[in-house]
Amino acid sequence: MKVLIHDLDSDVLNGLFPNISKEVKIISPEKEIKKCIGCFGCWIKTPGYCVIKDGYENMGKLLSESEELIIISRVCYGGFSPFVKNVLDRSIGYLSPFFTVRNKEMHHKSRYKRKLKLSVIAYGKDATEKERDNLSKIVAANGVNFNAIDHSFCFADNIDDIPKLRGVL
Amino acid sequence: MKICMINGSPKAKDSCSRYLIDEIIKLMDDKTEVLICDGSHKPFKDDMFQQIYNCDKVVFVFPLYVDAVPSHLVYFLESFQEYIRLQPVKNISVYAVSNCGFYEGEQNKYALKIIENFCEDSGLNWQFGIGTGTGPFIAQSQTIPWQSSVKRPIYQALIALKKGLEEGYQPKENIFVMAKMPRYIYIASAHAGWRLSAKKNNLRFRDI
Repeated sequence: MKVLIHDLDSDVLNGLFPNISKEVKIISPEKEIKKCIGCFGCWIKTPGYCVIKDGYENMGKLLSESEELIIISRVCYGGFSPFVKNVLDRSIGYLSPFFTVRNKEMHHKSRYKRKLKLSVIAYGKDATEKERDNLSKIVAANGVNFNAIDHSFCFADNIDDIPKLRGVL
Repeated sequence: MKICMINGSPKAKDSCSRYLIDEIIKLMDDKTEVLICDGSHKPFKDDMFQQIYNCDKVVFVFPLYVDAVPSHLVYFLESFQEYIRLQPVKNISVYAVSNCGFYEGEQNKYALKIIENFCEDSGLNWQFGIGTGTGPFIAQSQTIPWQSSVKRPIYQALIALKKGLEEGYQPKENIFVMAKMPRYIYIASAHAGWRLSAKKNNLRFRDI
């Protein structure tokens, strides 16, 4: 299974990728998402699952069953767009609360044995070079924090160019 | 001088951000008028943005979420930029304090860049940021004096911020700090805390 988190209108996504594989679980902004409240309930109350029951509580488990996390996000000040970032903030149950040292820095241990690949396609004609650069570095840091097998980052000025960067979903 | 402190933490209690805000305010001289705004609970209304816009200086204080700014604060930044776009140009200086649960303060560097980029996109004057590691320790250290060796690096960073706000001091680069303790001790203490939390919730530490 693969997970796709994106911030596009569904019509736009379907226009760009008319034949999305059934093995891709799509996380779309249509359904309202609540913010992470920093309670750590996904670690100490219902390990692996967020305590906020709004349809996004299973992100940790979903990621644990995935071989790849694909993200399509608008660049927002050199970070992810609010919806994509919200889903990631609600996904930390994927990790263990316990720590390890990785790349000479403190990071969370993995909760699950299976590791995923992180693939990010960012877009935005207004994004500056500095903003693209910062997001590419955040993706690399996310790769380390999520203990991903591999990570990749690419950028499209226009949404229509996204399929040139990734032909198939 | 009028300063707005924007609290980016959604936590009602035990928030490192709120503790740091309160301590920064204590450091400021009596002439400074300080306003605290909530940067985490939608909807963000124009009258709040107007109050912020009326200030001379703005300080964002927030927790690090997944290597960056929490999503609710990204939404706040976009909404505030929309508000600013419709206002006359004004010289507002912006500072940021990002805190994380990891040991290394440097892990906040990309979050501080996000605030810097927001300033460039919005026509505000980015000054500098502070990234603090060991956030949970700082939040729980309220009975420990700032002059103690363990908290002094954080205190010195807050003094730099005070100098920035009051005197226009600007370091060459962002400041990254953490409480002065060995990393292995910080990690061992954090693990002890998680074990205790598991027990309180009738879980074994292996379960969490």
